[in-house]
Amino acid sequence: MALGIPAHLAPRALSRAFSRGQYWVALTCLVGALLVVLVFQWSRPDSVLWPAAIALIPPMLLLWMNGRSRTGFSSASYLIVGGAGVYWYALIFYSQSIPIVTSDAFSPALPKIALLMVGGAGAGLTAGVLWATAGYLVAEIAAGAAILESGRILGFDGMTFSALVALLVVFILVDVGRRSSWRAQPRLHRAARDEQLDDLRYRIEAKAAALMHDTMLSHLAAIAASNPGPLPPALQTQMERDLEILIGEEWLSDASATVDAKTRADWRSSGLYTAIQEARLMGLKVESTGDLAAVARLDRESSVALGLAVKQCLVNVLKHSGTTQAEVAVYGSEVDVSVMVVDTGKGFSEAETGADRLGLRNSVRRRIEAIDGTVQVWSTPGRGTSIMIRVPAEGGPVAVVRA
Amino acid sequence: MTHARERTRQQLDPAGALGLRPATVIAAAAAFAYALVLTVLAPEGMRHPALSVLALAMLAVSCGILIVQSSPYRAPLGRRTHLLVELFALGGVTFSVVAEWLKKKYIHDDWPAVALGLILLAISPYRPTREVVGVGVLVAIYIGFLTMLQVPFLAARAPAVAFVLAAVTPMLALCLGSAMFSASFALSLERWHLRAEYATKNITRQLRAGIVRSVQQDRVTILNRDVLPFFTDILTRGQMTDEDCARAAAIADSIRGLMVAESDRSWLENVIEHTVHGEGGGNSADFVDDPQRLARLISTDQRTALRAFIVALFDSEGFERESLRISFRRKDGKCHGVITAAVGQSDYSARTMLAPYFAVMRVTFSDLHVGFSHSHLKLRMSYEQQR
Repeated sequence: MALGIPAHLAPRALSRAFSRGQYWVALTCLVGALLVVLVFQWSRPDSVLWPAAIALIPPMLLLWMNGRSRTGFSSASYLIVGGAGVYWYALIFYSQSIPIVTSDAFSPALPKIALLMVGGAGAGLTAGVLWATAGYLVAEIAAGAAILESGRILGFDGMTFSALVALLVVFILVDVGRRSSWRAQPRLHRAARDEQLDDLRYRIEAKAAALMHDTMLSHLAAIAASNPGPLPPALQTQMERDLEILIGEEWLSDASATVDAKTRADWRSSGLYTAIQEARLMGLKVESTGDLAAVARLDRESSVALGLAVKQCLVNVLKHSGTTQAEVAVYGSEVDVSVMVVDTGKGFSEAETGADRLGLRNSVRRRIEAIDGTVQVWSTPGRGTSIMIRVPAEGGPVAVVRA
Repeated sequence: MTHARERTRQQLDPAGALGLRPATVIAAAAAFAYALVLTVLAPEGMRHPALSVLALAMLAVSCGILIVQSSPYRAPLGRRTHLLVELFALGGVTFSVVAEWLKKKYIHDDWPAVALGLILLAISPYRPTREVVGVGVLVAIYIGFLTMLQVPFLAARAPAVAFVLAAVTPMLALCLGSAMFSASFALSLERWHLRAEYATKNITRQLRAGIVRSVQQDRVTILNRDVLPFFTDILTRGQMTDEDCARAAAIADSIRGLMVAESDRSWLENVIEHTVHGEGGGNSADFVDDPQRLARLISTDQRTALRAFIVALFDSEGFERESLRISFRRKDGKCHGVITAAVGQSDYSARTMLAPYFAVMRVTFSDLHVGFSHSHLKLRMSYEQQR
């Protein structure tokens, strides 16, 4: 989710970002100034300009150190050493008769700008403004001293001053902007957290609803459809077992996700195998085909959910399709495990299925969506039904959608 | 509609990037103002006024596009817009050089480097660092090339490279500085997102047991009411009567009805009811019109943005909660949502108050349309069906 940094952490992050930005401005200016010296020295071999290049090396080193660990000491050191560098650089440039310097306002502004981009220690607007102003003053004093020393007339350096003003304006605008977005951030963070919790609740409720459908609702339907007389032993056993589970245990708690590799590799310990076996006991002829071992790539929760969903599909075949045969085909890929349940029964139209028919909706679709899987149904009245269930394998991608 | 998210400040933190908009507008305006002042006050005067005006016009278009497209209502600012901004700016630069050809005496009278540097500074919160730096380098090469062409006609005699350095260094400094500022903040945001995700997972894990117990208790309460006594009775007797069959059907219908209602409820109805509950109660059906149950197809990020917006709307002063209508329909294979509400305050103040939420929604629903008219808000959005 696109969330901002909370208010109490924002000044530090902003200060770090400013420091990084200023570091690169300063570095670019110092490298530019160094290249200018080298170009002039190369084009005017008789001049002695190379010491100006050497004057830039210590400020570069100090800038690097200040960029790595921004402390009051490193920032102050950069200003002191940088001030000396600016003085030396300006003195050498102004001592030479270089036409571009006098005619095209090519001043030693670059190292001066590098100095006001000190990006000093501390967080917040005040610290940023104070360090930049200190850098400007040190640069101006150093350059002014060099200009006076070289016998030239002290003038106003508009470029460096403009850079200072621009920096201060950016500081202020960004700080004001940060404050204006404060009020929305807590609500966005709260929304993100509530969304997570709602999602968790939804998944648990989906699991509970599916289990209710598979157990109690199924038994009630069986009783409703029965003739008066003795309770069938199989139904009695299932009712007793399910009652015991639903009342006496924490049946919604996660099954242990840590199952040893040997157990997982054996497909007979999977939920899918259990589902097929139980459907066979109910009288359905189930043919299982494909890459059955692929289900071993599912975690415990997905394996159980897949098994219960497939069982519901098979129960639906038995109850509604008019056939007693079904095929369960398993396909495995790197990212998911797909199970196709196919029957050649009478088929149905999902859109025309009654709103109170919850088997496909709760026990298959909602259950599988709760573990980030997908369900697709193809059915034509009179021509059978195919249901494709895709479940992400462990480490596979997750698509999240829920009601 | 959802789309791949880029690593930009605007897309990682839309509400925060909204705070940078004034800086963007001022930097873009400053770029144009700087060019205008240098053109008008050029000591040599304008050699080809028409071309100079054309150059300024192209720069104005470039800055205008940037200002308009950086609006939270048009977010996210994409690569195509960036390309357009740079092309118009470079067109302006080219015309400016042609307009002053052979006449320019001093390199410091040139506006292109600083103006383009300011444009890159203004655009950096909206585009990825690599793109800003890459474009900056290309622009520097172009400006350097144009500068080289002018060197023979400049007043001062110095190596051409010195003039090129003088021209491009400020631009490169602005470009790299702003790009690295945005990159550093994006990194802080990503680290924060990771920490927040970890913390949320921890909280979720801690709360899971409580939620499980609560859900299980709800179910057991339903079972205790009818099903358990009925099952216990029938298991004790071991016999079924006609009444038992009829009662089983009745209980099954009742439970099924509950489960259908539960299954039909969407997250949006939950959000509305939780929010309205704090305001004195209400029914989500009064607010939500979603016959095809399309709200469930909205992605997690979109839901979070919508949830924050709805909560903000309910918390806003003057909001007439009875006026809220949220409807979803499917059309042309896409889901379309419309939200209308009477905000109960001036359009300007409502727009300002809700701007951070629109910014976030604009990034998650890229075609969000926001309309205000006489204190009535209308939002339109669409999204792809996720599955």
